Amino acid sequence: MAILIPLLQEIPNDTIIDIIDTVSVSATIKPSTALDNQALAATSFRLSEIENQQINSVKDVSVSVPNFFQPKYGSRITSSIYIRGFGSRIDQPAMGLNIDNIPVMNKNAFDFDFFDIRRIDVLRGPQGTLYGRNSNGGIMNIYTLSPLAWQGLRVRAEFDSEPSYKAQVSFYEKTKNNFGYAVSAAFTHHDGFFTNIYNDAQCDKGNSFSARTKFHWLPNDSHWNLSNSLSFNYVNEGGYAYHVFDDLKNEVKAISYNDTCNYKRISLIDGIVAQYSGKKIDIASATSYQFLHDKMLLDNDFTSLSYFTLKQEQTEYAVTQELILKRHDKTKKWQWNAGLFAFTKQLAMETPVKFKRDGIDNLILANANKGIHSAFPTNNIEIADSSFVIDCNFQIPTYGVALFHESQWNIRRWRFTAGIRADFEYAAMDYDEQCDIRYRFDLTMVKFKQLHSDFTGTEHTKSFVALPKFSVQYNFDKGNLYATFANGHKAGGFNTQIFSDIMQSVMMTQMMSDLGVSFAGKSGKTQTARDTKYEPETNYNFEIGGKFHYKTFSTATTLFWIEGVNQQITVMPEGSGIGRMMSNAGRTRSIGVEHSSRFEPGDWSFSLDAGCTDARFRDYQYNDTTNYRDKHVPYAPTGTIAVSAKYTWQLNKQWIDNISFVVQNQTVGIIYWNEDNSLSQSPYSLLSASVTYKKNKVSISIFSKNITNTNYRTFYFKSISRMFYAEGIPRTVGMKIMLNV
Amino acid sequence: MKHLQFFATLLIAGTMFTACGSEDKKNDDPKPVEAVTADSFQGTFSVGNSDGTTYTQENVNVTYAVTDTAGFVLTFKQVSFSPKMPVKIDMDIPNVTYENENGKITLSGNEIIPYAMGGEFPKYTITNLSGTVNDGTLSVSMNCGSSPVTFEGSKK
Repeated sequence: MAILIPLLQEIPNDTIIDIIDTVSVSATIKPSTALDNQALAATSFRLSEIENQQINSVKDVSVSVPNFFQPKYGSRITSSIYIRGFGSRIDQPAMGLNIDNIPVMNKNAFDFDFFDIRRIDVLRGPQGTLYGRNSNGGIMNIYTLSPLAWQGLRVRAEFDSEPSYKAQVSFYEKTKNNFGYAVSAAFTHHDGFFTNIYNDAQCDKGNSFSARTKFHWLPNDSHWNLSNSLSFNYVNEGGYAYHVFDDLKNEVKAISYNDTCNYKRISLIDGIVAQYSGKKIDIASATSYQFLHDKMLLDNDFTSLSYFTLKQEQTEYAVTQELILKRHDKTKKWQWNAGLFAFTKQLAMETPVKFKRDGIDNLILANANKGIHSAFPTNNIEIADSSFVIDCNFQIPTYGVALFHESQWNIRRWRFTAGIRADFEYAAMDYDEQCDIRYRFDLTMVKFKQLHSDFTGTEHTKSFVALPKFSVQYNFDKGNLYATFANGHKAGGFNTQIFSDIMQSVMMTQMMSDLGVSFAGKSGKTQTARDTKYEPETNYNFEIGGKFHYKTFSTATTLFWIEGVNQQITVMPEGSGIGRMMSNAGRTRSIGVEHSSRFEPGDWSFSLDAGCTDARFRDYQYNDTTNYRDKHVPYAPTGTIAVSAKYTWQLNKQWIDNISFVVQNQTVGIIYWNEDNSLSQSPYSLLSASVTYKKNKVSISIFSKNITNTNYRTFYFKSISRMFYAEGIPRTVGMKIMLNV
Repeated sequence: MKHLQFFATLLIAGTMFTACGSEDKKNDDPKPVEAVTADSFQGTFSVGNSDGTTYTQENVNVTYAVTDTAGFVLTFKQVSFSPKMPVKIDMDIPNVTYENENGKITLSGNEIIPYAMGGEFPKYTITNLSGTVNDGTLSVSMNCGSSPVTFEGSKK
């Protein structure tokens, strides 16, 4: 209890979270000042809010946090996060995710089923100094329920009109000597919302299973706080409900693709957190082992034609270690913390692309014969195979190490903070691509000829970034004012997804070489392995804000200005009509305002969370003639507004304790779908509501999401000269029964 | 001692004889003939157009090689036959008749179907081929289909 009691005494109420009629220990190993008393913008959700608002995954937090948007489309591998106008469709996320102080190293695992989540803190704006890589837009800290905070049995059953079914069972027990353990499991089945008319089946149905064990021990006679959390997650689902859009008729066509789209994932994260409270220094250590194996199958043309399919199968092992030293005496004017973070990731990935007949004819041969026909108008190159596979194999080890320090000086009502992080990262990529086809030129070759193409090699990338932070804060009795400069960065990496494009180019070059042909005056850039590297993105955030609270009213407003350099932008590879790649294409600036208010008079509760962002390219030279300067950054909404009201009617009858009503409306601003801003999604609102009956340990909720059945689009992309849209989830009505024994 | 002197005399005489013999042999042998195997040349490739003008490509690489399957093969690398021709091709002319006379190779051939773009290319059937390889230079003239073609190049 040595570490628990000081924490309970010193940490303000907003970090000691009330959960299920009891209190829990504060679990953060970072500086333990209350979020409301830090010079940053943050939004928190408690367990009751998470469960009342049907927040079942990271994506459900979207919009409820100002300027945070994570659309639902694709499958659970898709974790495109946009915050304060920054984000990207693929590769590194704009926001980091920590679960019980453990950073989730692969964004493919970001979308997992929530259950027994005690608290979610979303810190907006670059948090690079304390959290490092991929926190340039912010950080989401998720804390699961501790068996020392609550003991008993939790059962949840839920179904809705999709139809989908969810079930959860959790058991929490505290034994003597302040040792607690928890075992939880959850299962979800989705029937899917969207029909693929090609096979008249729901394309987005699936199952997921999650389990978690947690041990928490506060030895009586020591200064230690030890916990271990082991999470397992299995997903097997469809998805990729993409409609072809006919822009001439302005018509969204039915989903119709002929090859399998599926996503399977097994992930495991084991995190050990050890905290030691000394006389002068507190020490915290967070160690994790992370495993992820997933496989994505895609009909990559998303049509009923047989162009090409993709399998992306990867296995990743990661080990992370964070060590933090903090000053123990919180009464001193100078508070400091310093830390070391190190990680390694070992990624093995296979991404075979299977070209089928339509793809061979329309993508490969059409391109090759375009050149041939300039010299031999009636002759063609032919490929005998009805399909062939470009095998792509990668080994990508990544290593990183960072040192950080942050000091705070508390001088009367003023607090000055300065921090710095030095972050070094190294990654290598071994690539091995193979392809075999049988081809002939019909003018000269009677028989088809085997052609073997290969492309192998190694690339390296390394980066060093320094991430400073400065803030000044003035505290008054009912709040504070602050100004902050903070730095964040998104790690660099490799565009493995364009290797099949490179291989096609290699194959055609080798075929032409085999034929002894070259095209006179041929120009245009050919992608090479070196071109697949992209550099870290860096953000510089200037922010002023203020927080105010009076009785049950609290409010916070923030103004921010972010300058982004080397922005990672998803672009179509040059000379290609398909695929996408990450490029450090632009400089961006984002300015905006965020506001949150809470008011809880009596049995009522009102909240408002709104954000407005103007994120534009300062410079984005797309090609020789086009610069997207001053255009809005695509995919990130220009604003978010979430308004909610809750009323709890205290009846206290024999058959009922209370009944609560919750209404929430979420509005998403304009989303531009492309860099020239010619396509966009108009602002839309989603209304949801719930009614919850509670008696003792049982609660029954009836809820509905998207009550008005608003039609909206969550994603747009272009491939093979076709435009595609993903539609939003329609109205659902459901029921949830919870039992806390 | 006499035996030793006699032996030394024999040895010296023998050495002189051997030396004289080598010199004699060198002087008496005909000029050595280099085996006709393979060589590379770079030079000017010219095609006569029907309008009387000539289309010329510089720095064209031409090789020859004697193979088991196709005899003497003359290979023109990345040539085009008109400035309007959008592709350049490699062209192999197999079974060229050749004679080696004191290091000078004389080439000839007629009605040879060349290989290009993976197979036989009858459109460019070779007629009236003649040429020489001499003193590090290659000269070839021929009709390639209907186009008169010449190549003048020197050893790379």
